Amino acid sequence: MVEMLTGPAAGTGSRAAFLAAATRRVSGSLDFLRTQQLGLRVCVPEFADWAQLLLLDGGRANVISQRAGDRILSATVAAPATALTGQGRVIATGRPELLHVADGAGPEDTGLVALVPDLAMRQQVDELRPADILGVPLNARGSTFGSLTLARRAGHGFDPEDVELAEDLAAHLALALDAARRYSERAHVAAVLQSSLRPPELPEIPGVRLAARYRSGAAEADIGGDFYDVWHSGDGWSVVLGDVSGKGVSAAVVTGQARYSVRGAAHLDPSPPAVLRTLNALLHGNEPGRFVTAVYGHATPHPDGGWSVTLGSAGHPAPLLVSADGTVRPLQVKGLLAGVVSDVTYTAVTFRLAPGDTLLLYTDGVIEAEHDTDRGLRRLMEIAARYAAAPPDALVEAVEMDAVERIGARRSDDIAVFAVRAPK
Amino acid sequence: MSGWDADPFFGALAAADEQAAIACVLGRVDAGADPVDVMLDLVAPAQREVGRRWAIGEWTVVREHAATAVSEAAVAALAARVAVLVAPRGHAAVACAEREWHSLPARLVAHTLRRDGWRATYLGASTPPAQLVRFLDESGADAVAVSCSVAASLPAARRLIEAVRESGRPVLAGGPAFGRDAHRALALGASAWTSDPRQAAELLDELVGNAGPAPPLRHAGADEHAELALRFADFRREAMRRWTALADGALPGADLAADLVDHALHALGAALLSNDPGVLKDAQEWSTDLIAARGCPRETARGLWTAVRQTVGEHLPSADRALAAI
Repeated sequence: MVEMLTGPAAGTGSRAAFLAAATRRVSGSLDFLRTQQLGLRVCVPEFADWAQLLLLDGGRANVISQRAGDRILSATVAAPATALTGQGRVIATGRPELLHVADGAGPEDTGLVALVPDLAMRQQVDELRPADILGVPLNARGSTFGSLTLARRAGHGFDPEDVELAEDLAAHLALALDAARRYSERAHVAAVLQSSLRPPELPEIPGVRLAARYRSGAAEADIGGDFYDVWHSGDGWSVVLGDVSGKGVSAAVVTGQARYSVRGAAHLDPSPPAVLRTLNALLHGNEPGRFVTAVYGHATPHPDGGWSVTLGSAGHPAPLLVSADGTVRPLQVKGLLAGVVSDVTYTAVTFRLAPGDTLLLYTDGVIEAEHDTDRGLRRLMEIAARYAAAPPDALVEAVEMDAVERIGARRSDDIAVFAVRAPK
Repeated sequence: MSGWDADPFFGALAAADEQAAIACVLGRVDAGADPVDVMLDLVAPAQREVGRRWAIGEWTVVREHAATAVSEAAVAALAARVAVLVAPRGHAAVACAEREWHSLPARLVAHTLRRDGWRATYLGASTPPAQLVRFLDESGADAVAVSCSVAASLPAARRLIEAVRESGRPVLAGGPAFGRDAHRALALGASAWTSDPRQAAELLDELVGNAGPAPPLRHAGADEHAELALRFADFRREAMRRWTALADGALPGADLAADLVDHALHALGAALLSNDPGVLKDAQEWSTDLIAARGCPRETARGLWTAVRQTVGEHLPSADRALAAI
């Protein structure tokens, strides 16, 4: 049988130490289910032979339990109705309830059923008979939302100090559970919203190889103001990469708008001047004070192989055309950043992406890693030249790695880098 | 190791020929091999040979990276053939600490865990602790496996281990930077160590449910590590200056020299944190071979460590003693 430690019962000092250690453990997680599991683990075996958490969830209650040395059990039961005994009493009154289960009482003992509603969990307690069972409420923000129930074998019953300790522990655990539940609810909402703002998975486009790397500089989320998108259209493809002014979540929201504006505009007319003009007009109307730099390109098959690419820029750092032989050329195309002035006319350049050539797009976070964008650009061009013949994945990884290592721990700007290669 | 030159998979890596590499590994699967066995028994050793060819100066860093990208593609093709359990035994996040860019070993661990019944999410190279913990809280993952190939990532691995264990999850550590036994990994607070990805699933099974916070580091080296981290930029500049003076023009290329100084200081940080001078010994051997392979005299390699010791010695007494001993 399991050996229960009687440490917490030994004296005031060790009780305080137990409570401090247990509180720290349950406060570490913001995941609701994990916090519940941690709650059981701090009780078993150090404070009890068996522990159960019952948490109300509308008309039902989720129950998990653990006996020392066993796996955690979980079940969903009807929420306990208000009653004179058992969980119904603990939850209605917010007061502890102590029960002694005599030897031979069995898992159908009514007192036990009232405290331990799930049969498999009752059987765990049954095997501890004769046992003492203590139910204490979990209170947070003025209401009782569940209970912590502990069982000890005979001879290790709960004295008044143990009951007090259990109530203290339950108070800390309740706060940790309440925080984790609120966080989990919001995290779910945030994750669903964020997924639409994250860079997309790269599609398979016949005749090109794509590679990209993205890092958010924001501490609070994996999204930021840099964005890219690429899609197959007709017999060609379109690509956009940009950078919204500002940082973090508020910038990320605009990246979503910008991406969909560009896709929508390209659907009607894929030429860069038309797309960038529309992007500018939509941002100017919708997001005063926000501006976006972006580069957008549209590619169609070139009669001699590879692609004919038309490229426009809204105030974005010059993309690089990297030839297979290691020649690197910045593509100079001028244009005002989008969202500042109401009506802007954009121009475009057309070039051939011959087999083996790579078009490299990046945001300023990449070249500002050097604190001097001219030096940063030179460094990027050197890397691009070295990796001209390496797979595009190796190229974007080398760019990412160099930028991240140079920025070090002070990173707060986003980084996006995107490569399109016309294979030989 | 001339045997590798005759190996068709290694040939595909050497030629950066992705199609050939994929055909080669899938051919083995079609002939009945388990896809994860092909990863561990063919791709991983071939990739170690790739690293060795760079270390001895036979391959450029670009060629090494190109070959690695081909290995990644081969692993992705193999991964599509791995059968996974519908009801996984648990969910593990597999991560590289910051400064660790060798992502392939972590990917192999993730695929091995999947085959062995775990759900595994690979989080990419150089993952900041805050991002990892946010993933854990949002995904409800049960455990973390951290892979360290270079000693420079060990201090960041310690921060990652602390953050994960604070959240109540265990950390399994692996990779050459932890050395040849569990000692270094446990000193840095990991819940367990293994050098064998095939043991990872079973170890995680045992660890889940047994994780409290990592014990704080209270030895003198931990304080010196903090000092080193604070003064890192100054130390780096000063060590580079001293090494340049000592080497008298016989430095390996400027980028490599800067990387070696960085690596030496991070290895020193790792030695201080883990209280394990073996980290320094490993780092010194590694850098010495690397420098010798670039045609520099042996004094150049010694000069690096002399420069580091002269730079930090006055401020960091434990570091000074450890550096004197190598």
